[in-house]
Amino acid sequence: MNKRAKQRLIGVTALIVIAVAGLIFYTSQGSGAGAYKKTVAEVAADESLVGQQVQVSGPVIAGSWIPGSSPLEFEIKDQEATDGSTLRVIWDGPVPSAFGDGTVAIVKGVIGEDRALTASSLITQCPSKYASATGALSVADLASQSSEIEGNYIKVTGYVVAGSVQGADAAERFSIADDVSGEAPVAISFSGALPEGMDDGSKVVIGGKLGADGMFAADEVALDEAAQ
Amino acid sequence: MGLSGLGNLLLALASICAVASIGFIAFGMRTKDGEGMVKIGHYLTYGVFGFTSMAVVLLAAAFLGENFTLEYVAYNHPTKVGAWAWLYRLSGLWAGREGSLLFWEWILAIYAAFVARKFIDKNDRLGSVALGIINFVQVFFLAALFIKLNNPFQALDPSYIDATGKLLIDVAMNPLLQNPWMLSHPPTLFIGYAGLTVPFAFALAALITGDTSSHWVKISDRITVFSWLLLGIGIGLGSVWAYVELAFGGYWAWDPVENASLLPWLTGVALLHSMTVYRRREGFRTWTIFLAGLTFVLVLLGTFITRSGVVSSVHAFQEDMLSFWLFIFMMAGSMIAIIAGLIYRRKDLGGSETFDRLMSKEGSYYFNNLIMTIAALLVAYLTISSAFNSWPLAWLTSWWPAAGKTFGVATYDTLARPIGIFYILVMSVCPILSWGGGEPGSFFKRAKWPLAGAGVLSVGLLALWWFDMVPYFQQTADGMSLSVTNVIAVIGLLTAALAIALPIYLFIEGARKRSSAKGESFGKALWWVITKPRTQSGGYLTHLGMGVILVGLIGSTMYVQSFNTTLAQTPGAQLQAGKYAFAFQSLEEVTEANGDVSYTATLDVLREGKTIDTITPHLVFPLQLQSQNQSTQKVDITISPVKDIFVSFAGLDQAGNLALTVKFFPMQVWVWTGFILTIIGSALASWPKRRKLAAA
Repeated sequence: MNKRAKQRLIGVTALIVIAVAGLIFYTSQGSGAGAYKKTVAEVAADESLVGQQVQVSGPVIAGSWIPGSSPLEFEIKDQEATDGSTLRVIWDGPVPSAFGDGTVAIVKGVIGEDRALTASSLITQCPSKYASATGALSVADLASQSSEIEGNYIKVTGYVVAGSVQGADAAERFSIADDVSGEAPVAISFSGALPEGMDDGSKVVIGGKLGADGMFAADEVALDEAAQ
Repeated sequence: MGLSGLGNLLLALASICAVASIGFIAFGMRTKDGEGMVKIGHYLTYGVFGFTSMAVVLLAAAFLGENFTLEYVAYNHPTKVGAWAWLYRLSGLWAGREGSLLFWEWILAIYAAFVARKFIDKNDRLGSVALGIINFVQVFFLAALFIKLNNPFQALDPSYIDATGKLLIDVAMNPLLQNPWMLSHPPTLFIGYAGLTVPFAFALAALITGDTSSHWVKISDRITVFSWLLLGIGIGLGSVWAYVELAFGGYWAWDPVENASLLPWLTGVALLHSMTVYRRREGFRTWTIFLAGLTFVLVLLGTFITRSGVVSSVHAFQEDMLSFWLFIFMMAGSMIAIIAGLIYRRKDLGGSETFDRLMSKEGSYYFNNLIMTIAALLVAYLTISSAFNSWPLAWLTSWWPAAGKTFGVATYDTLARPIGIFYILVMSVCPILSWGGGEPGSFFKRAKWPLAGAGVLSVGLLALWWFDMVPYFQQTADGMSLSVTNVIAVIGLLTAALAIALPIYLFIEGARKRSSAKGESFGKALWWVITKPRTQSGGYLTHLGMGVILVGLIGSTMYVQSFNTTLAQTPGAQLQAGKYAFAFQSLEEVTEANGDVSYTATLDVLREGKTIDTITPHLVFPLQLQSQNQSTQKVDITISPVKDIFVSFAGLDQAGNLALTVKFFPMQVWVWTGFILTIIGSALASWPKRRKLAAA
């Protein structure tokens, strides 16, 4: 390669690199500057985010939205924090497949004065990432992993301990154990209606959170269909 | 022994074979008369293939027989019933993180066995070292499979199944994955991904053995084209899937997982072209070896992004630090090995290229490499930057630009459009540039007719632009303005005209010359020109396809019009969207065999009062996700050569009206047509020649 050609080559390469750098600079000035990833709890706590472009993700709260409404309004909760912070999202666009209660929605947009996020994009997580749903834990798992799962929404399965069922106003509604003998039970608090046909020894699947007091606060009790 | 134990035993045996094979090859090559040992190393590679095949068969059998003693099977079994249920069950093999890693490794084991068979009787240093490297990669994947979260043979907690083997917990493959696309999209991608290990292994082997002749390229170039082709097909299938099933309202969203598959494809383009120069002219040696390494590293990054959730979920990232470090080690190790080798062998790598002019074939190959490398690094950077604000990378936040930021479609588009168009311009002129350059005058002489053809074609494309694209422009909050869009579109269409006209000219010119020289008919000569010099004609056809794709991309991403609207459930009720009206016909509810409930809306599509099509978008509420109120959509599309009318049905609002999204995607068919042309072109180029491998 002769010297002149080499100089030209380096020159044109430099030009291309400079052009791309300029393009990146131009993009970073406008709306393409990107959005900082924030959690629901951070958005709730940080007032300086009002008017800022952010990306937030979290599971859609059951019952917070009306199917088919336009624009769609829904709430998401924090994936990890347990302070109960939520974020209201307003989305005026096509609702992607798999949107629903509990689906992890990734939204990007600007936080308004009312702390709601007006989304410019809504993505439900790509299926390859949520192929493994969380199954129900056993009572023994609950006891052994109580420090990790405390405060997180989980499902637990077990058999209703004979004679443990009490009225709706009792603090401890009933208890379940890993087998019908009723050894090593966990107490369940629940104020709703118990499923029809639930008896001593029934196998149930319960959704809720394990409290620091060791009591499992349920918001959903169902008979395990497969075991009946 | 249960399935779990048996599966892990098979993986352990495969690992032992892989490690032993590396040992025998390395030791045999160092000892005098060690050919026998090297040969044992080759046979052990068959062992890896045999044991991983058995592991795959075992897992497949567990899926087919719904054996839920394996956690992976329980969590990923499909709920589909009917005559084709077995096919969906097989797709469970790659539906989750654990199974897909095993599947990936198995495909690599097939490539390894193929290489072993090729070299077993040849006592070829290059081939043996390359095989050792492939087996090293296999050891890495096998090791990753033993990490708890990656292990497909984990036993399920026995309390989750009853005495008859019935599953007591409510888990299954996600309903979105239970469709025909799932059968084709992931396996094609994996075949492409795993295959790109081969050029890396041979490139590194060339550096290790010091045989930097074109020998290694001649062995691995077809496997590279084949893998790159399959990767491309996989990407294409994925975008069609996103378009018709996921209802994101498009086929490419610059999602991290999509980007992950694009990265090695981009550097793969550069690699293929550099290999041509290496093979034919012993040039671009450093580039080729570097690109083989970079492509492999991007394959690992892609595999890692998809599996780990590192980009969109920090949680999964922390959960599996072992896989994280394993992948980082492998990526860094591969790149360091390649770069160290390039430095060590720098004296042997000076090619015979005579690079006297920029306007030469070498020049265009160089810019091809430069742009593709920049593009891949840019996309990689934007994709992973959001991960740089969490441990263990938090220390980067202070100085790494854009750490912790995530970028949307608008950012990628602003960067990709000018770079992409410039790239296609370079690509277009490459075939009429000559090696070494030649006089500028001779270039313009060759370019005369293609330029004239491109001029004619431009008129047609600009007419399409004015009448069928511009009217659909819709300003979005963070998108480009109409004037900027138009400038880019016009430059892009002129470029596309050249990209389409040039290969057509080359085919005609080639046939004309041959028919006059050989006295053949023009048709016969054309057939020969297309089917005989296949690497060349396949390349031209791919270039032609890229031009057609560019027209499609300009229409379907820059001039999209979208309406979110509702339609009353009364027969004859209409909604207007642009020049089109949609009239309600019926809404039907059907409960399918597996308990899923589907709603099908039937609508007439009208233009100027005339019905031009009847469409049936539908919405499915899978039984499995009923408690979550979750649905999946299947859009319906009215296709025409100049635009797609895309309608998705999202459910009923409170008043009982249908919530519909209508989108117009101009020139969408051009994307798919161009895509098919590039597939045919690259398939033609990768079709094996009856060529004896020199000395191999």
